[in-house]
Amino acid sequence: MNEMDGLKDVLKNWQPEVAPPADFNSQVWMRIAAREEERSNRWWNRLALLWLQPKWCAAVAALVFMAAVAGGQIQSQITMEKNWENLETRYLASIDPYAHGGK
Amino acid sequence: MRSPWIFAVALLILGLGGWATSYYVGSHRATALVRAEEAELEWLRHEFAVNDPQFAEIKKLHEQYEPVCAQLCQRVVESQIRLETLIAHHQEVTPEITAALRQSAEVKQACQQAMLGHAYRVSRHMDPGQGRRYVAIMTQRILRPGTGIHHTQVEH
Repeated sequence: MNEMDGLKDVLKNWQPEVAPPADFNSQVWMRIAAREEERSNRWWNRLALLWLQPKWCAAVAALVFMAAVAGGQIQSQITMEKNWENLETRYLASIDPYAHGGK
Repeated sequence: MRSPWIFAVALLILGLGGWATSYYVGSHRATALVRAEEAELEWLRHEFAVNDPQFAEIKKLHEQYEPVCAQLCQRVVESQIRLETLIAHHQEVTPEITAALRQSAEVKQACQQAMLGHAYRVSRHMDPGQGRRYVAIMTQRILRPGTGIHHTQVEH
């Protein structure tokens, strides 16, 4: 145990003899800044930041809404046509003795 | 960096809301018709712009036709069973099979005749233009059954 205590004392009092470079702090900050810039230059980040500008924000919202409404209309037309055909088939089946066979 | 994501979620909600509303408004009429009790007759009413008095007459004709249709259906099933049984028990076309084929054709003709007669009667209770269109559609389906109507398999 005495040996371990001795080692701890030595480590506590040990001072590195190599001095850090003079521009160590500025180098660290430059690397952080470069990484931040690289991240903000990615296309999705630029796109995301574009949305935050009020003029684009409203335009994008309007565009998405209009596209959604148009999509809903197209989808409802398809559903309506399908339902209409289904009803037509049901009517024809209701007067067709051959179709009645399966009822 | 949180704002773009909040905005993206808001856009998604806006888009889904717009889509759902638009879809509901556009399709609820047909969906309600499909769920109606006599949906097939409701289709007829809307497709051929049938008014209430005309619809009452057409509905009466439809109800009168139902037992006729059921009786013909019974004949279809019987002739089909007879024909298939004969075919299964013979290795060549016998006079019995020929007779069964003839009977099957007669039943088919009776069905077509009954359907066409019903179509004519129904068309008389529609506006002339709509009546002609109705008969044209029915005739096509009666004479060329494969062009839209899906005949269900006769169950043995």
